Amino acid sequence: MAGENEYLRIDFGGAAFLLLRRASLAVEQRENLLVNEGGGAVSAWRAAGKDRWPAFCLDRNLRLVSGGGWQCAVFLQLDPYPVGLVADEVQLLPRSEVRVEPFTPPGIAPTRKGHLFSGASVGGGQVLFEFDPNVLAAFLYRLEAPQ
Amino acid sequence: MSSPTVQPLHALEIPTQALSLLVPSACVAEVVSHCALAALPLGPEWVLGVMGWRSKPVSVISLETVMGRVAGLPDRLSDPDTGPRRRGTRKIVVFYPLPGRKPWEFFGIVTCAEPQSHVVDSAALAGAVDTPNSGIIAMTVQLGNSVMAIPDMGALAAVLYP
Repeated sequence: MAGENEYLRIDFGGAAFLLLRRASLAVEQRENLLVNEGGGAVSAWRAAGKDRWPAFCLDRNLRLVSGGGWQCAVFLQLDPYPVGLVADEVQLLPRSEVRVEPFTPPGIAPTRKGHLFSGASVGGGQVLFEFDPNVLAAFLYRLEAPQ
Repeated sequence: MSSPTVQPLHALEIPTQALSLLVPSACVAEVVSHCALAALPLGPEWVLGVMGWRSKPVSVISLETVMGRVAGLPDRLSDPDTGPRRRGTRKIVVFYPLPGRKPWEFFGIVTCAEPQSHVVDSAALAGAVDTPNSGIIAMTVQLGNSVMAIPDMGALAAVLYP
């Protein structure tokens, strides 16, 4: 099936990560988002009918930071509403350009849903971690109302 | 009926800053030169990073940090006369996945010097000393002038993959 194993390369905070393309609900450019100038955890919202979907800005260590010069946001499906991750750049990688191997991060999982990464791609002296979309979505959702 | 014969064990001495480990060579997939590691976001402090090895991502750990404190080691492991020798060339020892773990879960330990091969005979193993309450260290054994720690792989697996 077309796009079944294609990946998005998501660059932010000086690092890059992978996400299965089919796990992405939408990629929206900054000019189509409502940028939050008022502070708080949310960097921007995407209007969706009566709802609005929050997007968050993370650094390379996946810590919440204030939004900077990001260009777009990747949204993931989640109940009760989708959540997003802002990025400097999002690229679609053809299947031939990426080979993702399974990867289990050591140590205690940083979220209740488990580890944020389920795979990684190794090549060109670089390791790109692949997000587990369900865990990433839950992780982002909790950023809006940290416990 | 004759008593069972204990075969000599081919083992690898892995020197770290805190102690020297002695592990069966069969546990080790490869010894490689130290290389750049990718930081693992939100990882524990004892994960130094992730390296690419044979197209696989391999987590590299600091044994010293896993163990937490050198003071908790059995005395003769931290003795300057019998403890680890520091020779300078850092390597990464890539281990096969621990028992019961997924086939892709190779991991690496950083050394402070070149690992050394040993053939350990039954006499040396008979002199091994249990080290209760030492976390991931099961026993210590003396080879020549050096005292080395034999890791408890089950305990190590419990730390790496709780």
